[in-house]
This record gives sequence, structure tokens and C-alpha cells, in this order.
Amino acid sequence: MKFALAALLVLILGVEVPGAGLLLAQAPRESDVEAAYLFNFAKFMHAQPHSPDFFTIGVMGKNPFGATLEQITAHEQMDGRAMRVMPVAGADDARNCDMIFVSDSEAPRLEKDLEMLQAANVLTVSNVPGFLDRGGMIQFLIVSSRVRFSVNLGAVNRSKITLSSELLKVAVSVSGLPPGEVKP
Amino acid sequence: MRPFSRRTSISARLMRMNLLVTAVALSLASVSFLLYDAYSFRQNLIHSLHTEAQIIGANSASALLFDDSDAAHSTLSALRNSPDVVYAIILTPARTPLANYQRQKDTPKIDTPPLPGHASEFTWQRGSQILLGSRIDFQGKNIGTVYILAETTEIGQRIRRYVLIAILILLVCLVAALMLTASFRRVIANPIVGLANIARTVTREKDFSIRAPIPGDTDEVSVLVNSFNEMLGQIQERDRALLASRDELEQRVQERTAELQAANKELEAFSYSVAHDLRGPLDSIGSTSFLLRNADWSALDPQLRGQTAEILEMLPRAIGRMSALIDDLLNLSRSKSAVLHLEPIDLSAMAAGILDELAKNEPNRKVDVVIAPRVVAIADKGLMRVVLANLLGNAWKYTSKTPLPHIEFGTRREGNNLVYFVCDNGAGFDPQYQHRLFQPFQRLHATSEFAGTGIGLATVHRIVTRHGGRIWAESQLDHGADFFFTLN
Repeated sequence: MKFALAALLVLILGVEVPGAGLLLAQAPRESDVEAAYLFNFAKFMHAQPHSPDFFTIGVMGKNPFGATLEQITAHEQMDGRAMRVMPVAGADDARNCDMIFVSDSEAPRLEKDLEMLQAANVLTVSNVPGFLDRGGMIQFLIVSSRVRFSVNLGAVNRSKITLSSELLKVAVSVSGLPPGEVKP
Repeated sequence: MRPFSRRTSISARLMRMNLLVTAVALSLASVSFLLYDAYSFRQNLIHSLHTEAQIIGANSASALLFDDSDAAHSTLSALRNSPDVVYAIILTPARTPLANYQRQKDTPKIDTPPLPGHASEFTWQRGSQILLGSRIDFQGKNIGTVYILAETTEIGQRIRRYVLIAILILLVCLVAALMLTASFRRVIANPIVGLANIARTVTREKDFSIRAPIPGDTDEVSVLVNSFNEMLGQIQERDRALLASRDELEQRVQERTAELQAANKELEAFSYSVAHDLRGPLDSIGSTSFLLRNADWSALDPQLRGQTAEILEMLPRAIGRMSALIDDLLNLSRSKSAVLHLEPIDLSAMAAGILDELAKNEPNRKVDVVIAPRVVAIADKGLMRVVLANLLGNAWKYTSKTPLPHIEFGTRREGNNLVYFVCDNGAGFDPQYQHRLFQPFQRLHATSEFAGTGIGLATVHRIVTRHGGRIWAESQLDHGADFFFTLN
């Protein structure tokens, strides 16, 4: 587990970990990649800070990452704010986060929460199928056994969050584009 | 004398110099431009590669972070617009390739050495290619590396183009230099060539009055021309002085010669008239002595008569000697002044006649005489008679005390010359006095021993010389004398 994480870190973040080279051949776990991508999304988004001291990633529902997300974000900073990971019980708690990962355990009562979070300028990410159609902003997909993601730009634009075009460039699909705009 | 080729030599040298300088200057300029261009082209290429690497790095950050090789691919494909770039690759920090770009499908894989140390960018020269590696950083973290391989063959093409252009310009410049040479010739070569031509004319015609035209410019050539003209002037001056002094000398020689000739003539006229005028009184003395000898002296005392007869007997001998002396003097005088009447003469007959006469005067002497037959010469008859009479007379005289006297007259060949000789076996002479032999009034024997005037051989010498010939003698004392002469 620890070696796998090290390999992932090397692969995604360029952090050099001794002995990591041995495990490169082994494919990283899906949840590890998703944890790394969560961290990366933070780099391509821009929104009103919810706290002057912290960039908070909330995990709503059952945490699928174990300790990985904490390890990735530990000691990392985002625009001068320390990154932290918080478990979130409900949408009311989540409004104070900058980004929320919605675990599939929360699938049944999504729509309302997502509407509220959009209004609270919180970037919502999930791997729940149909997440975007239900008002989510970024959804993880598996394409050719690789973790990819799609963006609901309409939902993003309705909030006060802006996503970098760089991010949109690497998205599998971008929906809710204004008329005339095409995904590069 | 090849005036044309000579005329071209200095111009040709000027032209060669011109062309050489042009060619060298242009070549140096071309090479330095070329080097600078190649250098700046390479620098520009590296700079544009750097820019491209930066753009690719910025545009592929998300692709690297989200492991999206398609996005990286499309970013790299923008390199299509850079014709120099043949290959590019983006590596993750773990040095696994994320995406690459190949201008041509068959571009071989290249190895991508890691950047040395903490350099954010580095270039390697790979033969004709340049490999540039650049770190991709995102928000202060290294997230990958991009490598771009570019072809520098365009440098080679540029060099070829440059060389072609340089050659064209060189040709144009050479033609221009050729045309300029004409004006160089007018300015530099022509005055020198003109000077050379004048120098040649002066040497050939020895005419030092010629002057080279002075060129308008006051440069070294005009100094040369001026010096040359000055030199000619000096030579002319010296020539004139030399000529004047020679004329003066010649005039002085002529004056002296005339003076000497006048003095000589005077002297000869004097000696001639003296000799001639002496003959008159001598004849009267002779006839008087004849009368005295045949006069009747019977009235005288017998003793006194004897003495008188003795004295009177001595007179004819002395008169004879004086007469001979006068004859010789007149001959000598005549031999010098008489006009030569050249005609063929039979010398054999003349010698025989002279010897007959000598024999008639002394009928008691027995002399063995040999005369070569048909000895002829073209000479003055009267003077040749004087020559033979003297030489044969000497031979006759100096053999008078020889027991078996022998006299020979003949000729022999010496090269192209016919040499006449008169030989005897008489008293001869001491060869150490040979140089005095043909001088007047020089005698090698005492008068008491052999009678003579000392003028004969001097006269002979003069006559032979006047005929353009030469006379010489060989002898040993008491072993006879051989006289040789030639006539021209």
C-alpha cells in the first residue's frame, strides 16, 4: 500500500520517493488516482476563498481514499492557504469547503445538496454515475481502464467558480458550454 | 624587343594585385559573414526551440498532471509549424514518455539524457541536430520534461547559398577590378612604361637630348622621371665636355704633327741640299786631284816628288768614300720622299746584275753565288735596286775575309707571306746589337775593318717599310748573316 502510493506520487506529482522505481510497473489503484486528481483540480480552479487560512477538501459520505488524500495534501499549500481534508456530514457542513468529493454513499439525495453547494461556490466532484446530469460539476470516469473526468461547465458557470481552460482541455467531455463554444 | 608584352607586364602585375586583394578581401568578408550567420542562425534556432519548449511546457501542464497523453499529443502537434523540429517528446518526472511528436513517421527514437544538475534547460549538439531539453514546472513543482530535436541542415543550405552568392559577387567584383585596372594603368603604369620606353630609345639611339614627359602628379614616379631627366642632362653635359676636350686634343696633335712634319721636311731638305751641294766641290776636287796626279812633277826634287806622289795617291780613295757617303745620303733622303711607282720587277735579274757589277770591281775575288730563279715583286724599281744593292753589297763586303765566301738570294713561304732573303757566310754581327742594325749612322764593325757609311741598312729599312713590308736579320758573329724582308 505504501509503495503503491509512493509510485503514484512519483507518477502524478513528480515527488521523488526512494525505491519508487520498483513499483512503477504496477498500475495504481483507481481511488489513489482520484485522490491525486482532486488535489490537481485545486490547482486549476479559482473561487472566492471560504477561509483565509485553509483550502479545504471535504469528503461527503464514506471516504474511499483511506489516508491517501490526507497524505497527498499534507504540507501542501494553495494560494498561501494550507490544504486540509475534512469529512463532511451533510450539505450544510460542506458549504464551508472549497471542494467537495461526494461519495457514492450519498447518491440518493444528491440534487438538493448539489444545488445548495453550487450556490455556495463549492466545486463538487464525484464518481457517482449521472453526477453531472444531477447538477454536479466534475465526474470521474474510467476510459480505457484509465481514470478520466468530465466537466459540467454549465453548473460551474452558474456558481462563481472558474475552471482553467487547461483543465477543460484534458477533460473527456465538457457539457453545458455556452452556444458557439466547442471543447478544444 | 617585345614592346607589347613588356608594356603589359606592370599593368598585368597591377591587375593581378587588384584581383588578389579583391578576392582575398571578399573571401574574408564572406567567410566572416558566413560564420557569424551560422552562429546567429544556431543561436536563433536555440532561442526559438527554447520558446517552443516553454510554450509546450505551459500548455502541457494539465496533460502531465492528469496523465492525458492525447492532450499532450495535440500540444506537441503544434510543432508542425516549425520546419526545423524533427522530433519532440514529453517525459513525466519518472522519465516515462507521455507523448511524442515525429515530423516523419520513420524518425528513429532518440535517447534523452537527463538535464545536468538543476539546470532548467540544456542543449546538446547531435551531429547536424540540436537537442534541447527543458523542465516543465507548474506552480513551483517540476512536473515533467520536454525534449525537442531540431535539424540544423538549413545552416548547410544557407552556407551553400552564401557561397554561391559570394562567388557571384566575387565574379562581379573581379570584372569591376579588371575595368578599374585600366584607370590604374593610366595613373601608375603608363608613366613608368613611358619612362621605360624613353630609356630604351635613349639606350638604342644614344640620344641624350630626349626628355621624358613629367606626369602631372607629384608622386614617386614624377620624382623618378625628374631624376631620369636630370641624369640625361648630366650625361649630355659630360658628353659635350668630353667631345670638346677630344677636339682640343686632336687639334693639338694636329698642330704638333704639322710642326714636326715641317721640322722634318726642313731637316731633310737641308740634308738633301747639303749632300747635293757637296757633290759640286767634290767633283772639282776630284778633277783637280786627277790633274795634279797627271801633272809633270819632274822639276821637283826626287825625294819631294816621291812624297807628293804618295799624297796625291791617297786623294782618289778619300774622294770615293765621300762620294759614296753623299750617294747614300741622297738615297736615304729619296727613300723617304720619293713617290712609289709600283711595277712588276724581276728581282733575280736585278740581283744578278748587282753581283756582276761587284765582281767586275774586284775581279780577283772568287765568290760562290746562288740566285733563285724568277723571283719577282711588285714594287718601286729604283728603290728595290737600292735595297738589293745594299744587302748584296753588305754580303759581298762582309765575306771579303772569308776563305770560301758564299752569297745566296731567294725566297721562302711563311704562312701567307713571301719572305725574301739574302744570306752570306761572312763576318756576321753580334745579335745583342741587333736593335741598332737599322738605325742611321750606327755601325757594328770598325771602318778600318769594313768600309761603310752606316746609312745603308737604315735606307733599306725605310724602303721596305714604305712598301708596307718588314725587315729583320739573324746572325752569329763570324757565322754569316741572314737578312729577311717582306713586301706587301
